[in-house]
Amino acid sequence: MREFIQIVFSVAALIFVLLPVANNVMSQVDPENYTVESKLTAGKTGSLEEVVPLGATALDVLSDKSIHEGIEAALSASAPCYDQVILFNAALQRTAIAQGAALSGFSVYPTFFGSKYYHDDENEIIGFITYQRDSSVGKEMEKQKLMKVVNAIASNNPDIRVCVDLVYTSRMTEYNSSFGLVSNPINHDFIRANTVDVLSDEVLVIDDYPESQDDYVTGWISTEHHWTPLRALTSYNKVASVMDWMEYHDPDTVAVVDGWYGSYARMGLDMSFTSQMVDFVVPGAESIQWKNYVTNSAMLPKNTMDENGEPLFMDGSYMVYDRYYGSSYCEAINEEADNERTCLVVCNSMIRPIKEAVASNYYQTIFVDPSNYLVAQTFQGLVDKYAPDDVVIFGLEGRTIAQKSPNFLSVAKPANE
Amino acid sequence: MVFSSSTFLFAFLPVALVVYFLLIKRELRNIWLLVVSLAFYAWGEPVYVLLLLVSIAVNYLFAICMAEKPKHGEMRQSAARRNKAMLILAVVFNIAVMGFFKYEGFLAESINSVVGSELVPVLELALPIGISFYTLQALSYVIDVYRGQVPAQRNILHLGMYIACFPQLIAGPIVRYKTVAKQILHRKESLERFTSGLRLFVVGLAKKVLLANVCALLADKMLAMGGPSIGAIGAWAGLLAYTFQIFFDFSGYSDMAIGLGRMMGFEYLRNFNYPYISKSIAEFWRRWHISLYAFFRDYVYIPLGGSRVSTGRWVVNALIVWGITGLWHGAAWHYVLWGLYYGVLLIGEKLIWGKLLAKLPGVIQHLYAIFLFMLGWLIFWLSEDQLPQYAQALVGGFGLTGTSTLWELTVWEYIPVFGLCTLASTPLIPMVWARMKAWIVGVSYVPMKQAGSVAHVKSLAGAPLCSLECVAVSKSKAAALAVVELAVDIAVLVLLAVCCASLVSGSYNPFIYFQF
Repeated sequence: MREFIQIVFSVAALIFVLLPVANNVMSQVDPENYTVESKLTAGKTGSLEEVVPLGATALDVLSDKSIHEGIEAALSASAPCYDQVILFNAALQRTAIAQGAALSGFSVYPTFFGSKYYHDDENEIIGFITYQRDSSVGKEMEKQKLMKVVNAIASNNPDIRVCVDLVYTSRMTEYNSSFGLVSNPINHDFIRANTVDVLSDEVLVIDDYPESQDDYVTGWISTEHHWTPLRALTSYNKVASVMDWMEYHDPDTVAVVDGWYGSYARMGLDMSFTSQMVDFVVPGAESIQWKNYVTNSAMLPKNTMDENGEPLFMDGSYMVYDRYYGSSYCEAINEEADNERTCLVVCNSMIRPIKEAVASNYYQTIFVDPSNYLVAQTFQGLVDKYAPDDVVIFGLEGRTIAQKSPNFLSVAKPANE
Repeated sequence: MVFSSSTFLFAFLPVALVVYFLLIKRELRNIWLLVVSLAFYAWGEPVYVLLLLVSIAVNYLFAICMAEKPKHGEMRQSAARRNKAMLILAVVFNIAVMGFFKYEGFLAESINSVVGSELVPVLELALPIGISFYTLQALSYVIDVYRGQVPAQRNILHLGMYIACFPQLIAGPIVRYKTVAKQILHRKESLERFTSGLRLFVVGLAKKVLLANVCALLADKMLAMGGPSIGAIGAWAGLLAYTFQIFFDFSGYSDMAIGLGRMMGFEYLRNFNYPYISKSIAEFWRRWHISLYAFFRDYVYIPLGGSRVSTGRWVVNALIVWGITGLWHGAAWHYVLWGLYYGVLLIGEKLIWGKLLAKLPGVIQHLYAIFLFMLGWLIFWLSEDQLPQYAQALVGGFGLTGTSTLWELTVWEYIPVFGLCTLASTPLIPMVWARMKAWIVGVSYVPMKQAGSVAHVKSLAGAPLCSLECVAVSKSKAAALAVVELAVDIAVLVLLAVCCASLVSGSYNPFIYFQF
């Protein structure tokens, strides 16, 4: 009896440690039923072919640390049910952390050891630990690069209306659950000192800071840094009121996705809470023609359903982010517009829900996202190129723009000077 | 390659073990073990594997020469002088090789800082991983041959297998040749030993992956943030985390090494015996890195005269031994300071306060030892630049939490982990298990002798998961015991699954043996 148990124990352990390699082999033999691709961590794959370069010698394989790291990562990713495994590991760590939090009287705690994301049971939020003033974000904000270039645009182009809508992600507000828990956090006063107080009188400014805790909890997606489509529409209406745009109040809504996991849930490896996407309908949006120049996702019309009647971006709950909030550098032509005006919009993924609404006000609208796409031209260069009637900037700080498109923030003179 | 990696666990180990057991003949198994051990070392060190091979070959030749019988007409004294010369050459060779790769930079910088110029070039050599361990093993071999305690190994492949054997190659334990000499050809693999070794391997893996790596996160974070940012709470928590990290890292690796050896029929001696329950520093060093302590005792301390010299001479000997012990741990002055720190404490316990200490209540003795070995880890852990500010934080020089909030320090996250580490630092679980087994079969539980003695260490070698053994079990109760042991095996499999989940997740997995 004892020997039988020992044999079973030994064989079970051997089978267990052979599972990743077996899964890797089977994924090549029967790719329909076996996979080494992770949905949760996009790009992570157990493909060993991509790890060892063609022509690598045995000495290369033995000595090259990058090959070793690649093999290590590929073997790890080959584990069956890889996504569930890493979620389980994070959950285990979170259970221990939760005990520590309970003993210490904290209701907010990281999603795993070393995580940048927190778990808030009371508000059912997976959030991002707030930035501190001495962090790279705070220091970059103090450089005021975006605001300076906006001032220059307004000054150099007096015939163009320039409007800035300060758009806040969930990690940039004092309603962030971790705000009162860290030292020297970036607060609203700090943000205003480096944005509103810096912008010239020539610029129309809307500071769309969350109005209350309730506004924050209902307006920002509980597992994301993005706001909800309806909260985006609220911000749009504030801009519309100063820009004489069409306002949309109480639009028809479509509950698009229920049970969605935002990027914080995915990157924080915490699936405790889900989010709901409630989108809205812009009348006449279907007549707008779109041309994508650079995009990481097709500029799909919203609310599109597939042949099964499922929302087009409901494909396993992980990809809603990319489908819905994906950014693009694109142009909208609205033949139904009652004018021939052009608007240049500098934005990021926060604006996706209201792109149709913005485009409904102009004949031509150009949306550019220098945070996510390399924009070679300066801001003034784009103004020279498109000669817009209005320029609207949806943003807060230039850190990500400085990283991706540093030339964009250069304060350049107009071409006709 | 490290044990706690996907490459080792999911690729190397299964192949190594399966082929090993498919080979029936002892000689083929030994050759296979040598081959995979060299492959294990070559993974990341393809050039330095040549150094390992040179070390094996040279030590083989030295031992063969020493084992040569006196030639016809050669006087015995002449042969003895010859052997002594061989020994000296062997020792010089081994220390020179290790010294060159490990200490050249350190010595060069130290000399240059004294003379005030770049007198000695700093070559910035990459340190061959494990050179400190396999060099000591090679040294123990040639010295034991010289002393006549073991015959010289005539088969270079067998010697190579002993020196390069992958279970203990890069992180010990330091296995004496005489421990395994007979096991090279006469070890017995069995199902009992395999499963026992497997259990020990998994326990070691859990110590490393689930405890040491997690504690490392906090320790490294507190060190990176610095004294002014963390205050006293952060500093003490960081030191506590490091105290646990280094124990579970080292002892975990030793358990994995011993477990792997046992799977293949080898019986290595235990290397850690719950050092954190010690009541004195002397006891601590009988429980911590036992193989290293034994090596320096047998090959440095005793040849210097041991305790059979005058008190003054003994003090000098102790400081020499502990200075060398510290230096062996790393090429930096704070390691030497760490070794001397323990030398002074051991001298103090022996000559000054040891008797007084023994009269104190056990709790006080434990606290005394805990405080001192934590202080020792502080010296071991921090460089000369980092120590002053961190020490200032420890004594409250930057307040309780420095410039950070308590939440931000994240110390509170690790409370359950510290609890688990504290439990795992004691022999409580094995003791409960041993008592449970005795109760199941209805026999009296008889604990072994006091922990720390050499005899006790030897007797532990065969214990499956326990540090203490039960009295022999009667056959009539075997079924009941088998059920309970099945539950333990299931628990071990679950532990293996959890460890694999942690590894697969790419969780933080620092390798702290780079300096060895």
